[in-house]
Amino acid sequence: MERTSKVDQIQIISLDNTSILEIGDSECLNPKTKAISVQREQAVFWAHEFNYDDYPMFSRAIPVWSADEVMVRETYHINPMIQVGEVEVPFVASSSIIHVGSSLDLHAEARVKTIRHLLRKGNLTEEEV
Amino acid sequence: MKFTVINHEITVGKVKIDGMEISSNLMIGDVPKITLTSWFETPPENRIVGVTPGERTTE
Repeated sequence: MERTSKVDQIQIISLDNTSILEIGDSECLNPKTKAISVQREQAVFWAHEFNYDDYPMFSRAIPVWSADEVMVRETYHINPMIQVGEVEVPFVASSSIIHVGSSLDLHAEARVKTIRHLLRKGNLTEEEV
Repeated sequence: MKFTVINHEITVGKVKIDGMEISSNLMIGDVPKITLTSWFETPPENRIVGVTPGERTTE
């Protein structure tokens, strides 16, 4: 038996892709994100650039330590209510979970690569290539 | 291992968070298992200097 959660008010401005606002119980939530963020001094982008396959960090397995070790767990809910007046989270990024209620298994995964591309004096401009 | 939890009354007035970053979790409830992973690769290793390498196909 899990407890009942009571929240009077939630204020959120923005939820990113693959982020979750769950109101109520859930069994298993598993959001996953892959992102490549490219900032270029000169904003020229080609369709063939920046494939996930080009960067090993997107395919490498993430080592996961087992949380299933054997233990005897006893939980007593003297008061079976969790009360929260107000929750204010303006911005929620990818693969994040806001959960009001109980769950059995939460597993979130995010991989982000950031690339800064600068032009220096002496380099050719796009037109001169 | 024996693990005993006794939950008494919990009442929270307000939770204010500036922002939640990737792969984070705000839980108002019970959950026995949470796994959160995130990988970042950021400059200076990822800095490129020079022009955009591109096929000269106009789109």
